[in-house]
Amino acid sequence: MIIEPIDGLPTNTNLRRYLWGLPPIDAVGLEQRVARWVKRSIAGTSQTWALDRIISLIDLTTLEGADTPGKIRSLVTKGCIPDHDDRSIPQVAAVCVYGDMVPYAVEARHRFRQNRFASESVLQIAAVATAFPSGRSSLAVKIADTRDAVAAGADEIDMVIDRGAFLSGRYDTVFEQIVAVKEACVRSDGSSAHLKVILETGELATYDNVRRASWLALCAGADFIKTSTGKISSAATHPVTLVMLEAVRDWRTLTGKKIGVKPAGGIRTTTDALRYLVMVAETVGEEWLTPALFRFGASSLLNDVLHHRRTLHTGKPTNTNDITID
Amino acid sequence: MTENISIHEQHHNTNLPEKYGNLINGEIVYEKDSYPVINPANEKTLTTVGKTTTTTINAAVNAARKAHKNVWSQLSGSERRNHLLRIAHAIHDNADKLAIAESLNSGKPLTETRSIDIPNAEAWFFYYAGWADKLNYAGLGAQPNALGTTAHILPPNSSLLAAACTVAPALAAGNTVVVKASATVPLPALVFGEIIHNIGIPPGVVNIVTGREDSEQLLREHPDVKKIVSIGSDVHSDGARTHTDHRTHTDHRTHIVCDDAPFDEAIEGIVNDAFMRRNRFTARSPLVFVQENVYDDVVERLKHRVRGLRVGDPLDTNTDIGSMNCRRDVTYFAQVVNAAENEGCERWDTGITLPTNGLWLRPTILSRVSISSPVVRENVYGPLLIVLPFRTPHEAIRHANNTRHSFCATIWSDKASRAFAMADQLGADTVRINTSHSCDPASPSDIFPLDHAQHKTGLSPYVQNGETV
Amino acid sequence: MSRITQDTRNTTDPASDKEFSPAPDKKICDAVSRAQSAHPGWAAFTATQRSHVLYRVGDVFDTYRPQMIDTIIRSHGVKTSRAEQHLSDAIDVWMWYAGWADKYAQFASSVNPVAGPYLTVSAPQPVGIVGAVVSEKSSLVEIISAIASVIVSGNTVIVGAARKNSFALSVAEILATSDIPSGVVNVVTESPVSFAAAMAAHPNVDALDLANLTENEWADCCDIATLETMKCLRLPGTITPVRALSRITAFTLNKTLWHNKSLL
Repeated sequence: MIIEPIDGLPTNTNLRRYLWGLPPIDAVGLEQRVARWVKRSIAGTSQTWALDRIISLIDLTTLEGADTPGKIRSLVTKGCIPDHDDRSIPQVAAVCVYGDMVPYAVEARHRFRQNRFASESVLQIAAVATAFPSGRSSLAVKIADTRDAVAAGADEIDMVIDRGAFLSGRYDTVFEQIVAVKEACVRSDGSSAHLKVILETGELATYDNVRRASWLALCAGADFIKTSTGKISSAATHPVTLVMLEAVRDWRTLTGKKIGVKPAGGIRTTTDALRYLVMVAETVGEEWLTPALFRFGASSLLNDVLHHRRTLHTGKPTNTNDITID
Repeated sequence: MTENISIHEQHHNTNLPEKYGNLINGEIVYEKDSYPVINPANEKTLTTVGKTTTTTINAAVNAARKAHKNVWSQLSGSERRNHLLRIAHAIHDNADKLAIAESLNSGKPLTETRSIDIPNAEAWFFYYAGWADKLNYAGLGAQPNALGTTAHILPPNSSLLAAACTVAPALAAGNTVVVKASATVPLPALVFGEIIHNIGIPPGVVNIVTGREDSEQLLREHPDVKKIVSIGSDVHSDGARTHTDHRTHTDHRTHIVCDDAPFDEAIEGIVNDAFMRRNRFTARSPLVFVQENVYDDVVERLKHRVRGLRVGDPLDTNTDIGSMNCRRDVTYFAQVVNAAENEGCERWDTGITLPTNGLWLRPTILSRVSISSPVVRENVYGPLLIVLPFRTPHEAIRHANNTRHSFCATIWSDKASRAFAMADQLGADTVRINTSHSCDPASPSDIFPLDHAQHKTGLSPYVQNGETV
Repeated sequence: MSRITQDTRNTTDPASDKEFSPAPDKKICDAVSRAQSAHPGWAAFTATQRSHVLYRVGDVFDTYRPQMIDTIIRSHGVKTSRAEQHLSDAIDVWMWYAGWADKYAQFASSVNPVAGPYLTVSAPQPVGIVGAVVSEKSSLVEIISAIASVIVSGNTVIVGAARKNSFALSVAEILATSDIPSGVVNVVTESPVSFAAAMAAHPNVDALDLANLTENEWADCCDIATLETMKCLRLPGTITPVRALSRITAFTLNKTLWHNKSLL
């Protein structure tokens, strides 16, 4: 077998052996493979479907030092009603905020639900945790950070891995931290917040590292693997996302389990998002195109999709101000 | 996703004129008698082209001879360079038209003709434009002399690229040309003729005629044709070849997948080579040697990838595999695959339902093949992969070299020192490491190993005494 | 786009009543840093891309024909037909070099038959930042040849043109409207001798083309000590045709690569 399940305890020796035994990546070939998907087109009726699907996969994000309760309320409203003129548009998958903003998001969602227009699914609230974005704090602080957000009502936790530990070869540290944060995601009633593990691929630099970090996160029990924090310039790219999709594809073959992928940062246009959809469908299959298995971490993407959607329906360009800003 | 093939109503503007003519002495000339050109995807008639007569062939050669004597040989290298650049620009400006013509008539997906055939055809003219004014540097003597008029017999597959790859160096070296389009796939060459007939190239420098084997025979026997360049598989007869014959290689392709390969890239590269980028003028389905300790896994991964390929309308931009363009290839494919199955090979195909009209084949993988299986020696053209196991790099080399044909090889391994050593020992013209892509006028390539084996610029076949200098 | 630095701010110093212009060092240093920042990008173009960009410049030259012909008539005092021919020849030189971008490396590279299990290949690399002197007598063809032969391999160039040479600046203006990336070609007006000295002394300049210096100018330059520090240096004296492969390779250096070979 080209890839086998990890064997033995997650000691650094075992992890190193395992990760370094993964097949190598040829960067040129990888990028040419991506170029092939980019040329695919989605036309006609499937385009409307695709645009709605993109919206339902978005983690609408605000991660600013200047975030306020008001900003969070606005974000939740936008997430629930992307376009006030067309209530057939699905809501986004989640809003993604800093941990201390979770209570305001929960409150906003709660108010919203009381006088809402009956939507089947509940808008998820995701919180970044573990000393986001750098991850530079002690494990105790990271765990407290996570517990805090979960206690405040976060449905999902977006944690960052310790890139310093990864780059210096301390894979066990990265592994143990993911395991510990996953434990901290457990609520008092025994249920658990969904754990997304951010690899921050821009700092890992090579595709081989991205593959290793993906497998490390998968082995440690991630529910989702996510490309980036969005805080450094090299964020989600097609090749990096493809490497991660291939990891979850092979993980499914190996274990039967489906793990999600979330490209985040730098996805701003509908065209770009459509390319991601094609890549997902072609690599792991269309079954991955659900909020449980694929997300876009983005802020400005939503409105670009809405403009496209209107243009598609009316056949005319839209006025920028027809769409609400969040 | 790929369960059924639907041939869509074409979205592109493909309204073709009722007939296409030959390009002779700068004029589009129509023949009295014509025959239909078929769209291999649905076997409907696309348009008609003339049945070229002896008179026409003579007129074409005559025009070329005169143009060589009176015009082309009198021009400076710089002027010839500018004409070649003009052709390159014309290809660029009409890329879509050419790509659609090629796809409609040959069944090759538009994505490929658009992204590979046409840009490369353009690149070949650009590259050789740069040689027209520096022939004295080409290592062919201080002032290499052109042959005169060369005739180029095009294959049905990638015919435009085939034309560019041979016509560009021929023109750069100072020859004038008569191009004979493929009998079944004449459209790309004829559209090319339409495009270049009014861009200011002196009349008679490029002439394009249609026709079957008889036209070719006429060209072969014509005393003013100084060289026949026949590319690929359009020529099936073993007719008498004159000393002027210059035949480019049949390219056989071999992949060697070592156990330390970048597997995702290897799978994609092999699938591309076998099923998609069939930008080969003629090609046996590739042989894939896989190290035995990863054999089963690689075969599974190949199947998984091939299952995702879309077979369908060549003009649909999401199509990976179009149709075949030769009935004989389709029948022969079935024969060979059935025989292989009876000889103990494991046959797998995607199981898709094929349309009743048109020349279609299912992507097929033959595994459990050994080097002594007869199928390894077959020349079958079609969407087929033949996968064989090997134990050690040494064995892979021995097995890959066990052929009388020249071939090109791709080694998939992360260990460069081993790959270079294997490259040394393989009897291939071109060895690629971790890529199946290589088509560039600046590099000797498996497309024209003969040209380049003798001289790296690819100009030598088109000048006097070129081969011996 | 290429950059032109010209003394447009010439003013008179009230104290000495002498004309002064920005310090030459500053002007040259700016040009060098522009050339330096353009170099990695230009060298990273594929050979084919460079070839296409340069071919397209030929068309740009064509659109400036009338102005160029005027300039030729004024500087050489020749008839229109002669000037036209001179210009056509100059454009042709440019196109000739454009075609070399994806070809010259094959003529300057080698597989080295070393005694051991190694793959050893040598291939030319652009030397880097090149200074080229244009004297007041240099013709249009000479200038075109000097620029094209240097940049075709991926070098960037700083042309130091004598103030009285009327071609250098018009060429610079034309190149500024082409697709050549900004900073690849820089033209400064400066006396050949002080330009040569400044370039030779500049730590970031890799090579210097002095072939266009007149005999007198060369006599003033030949003892510049820092000339020895140049990685490539082309001196006046030998006459090279304007179209010559050696002009390209004069500003490239071989890089040799070794790799092991073993089946085991």
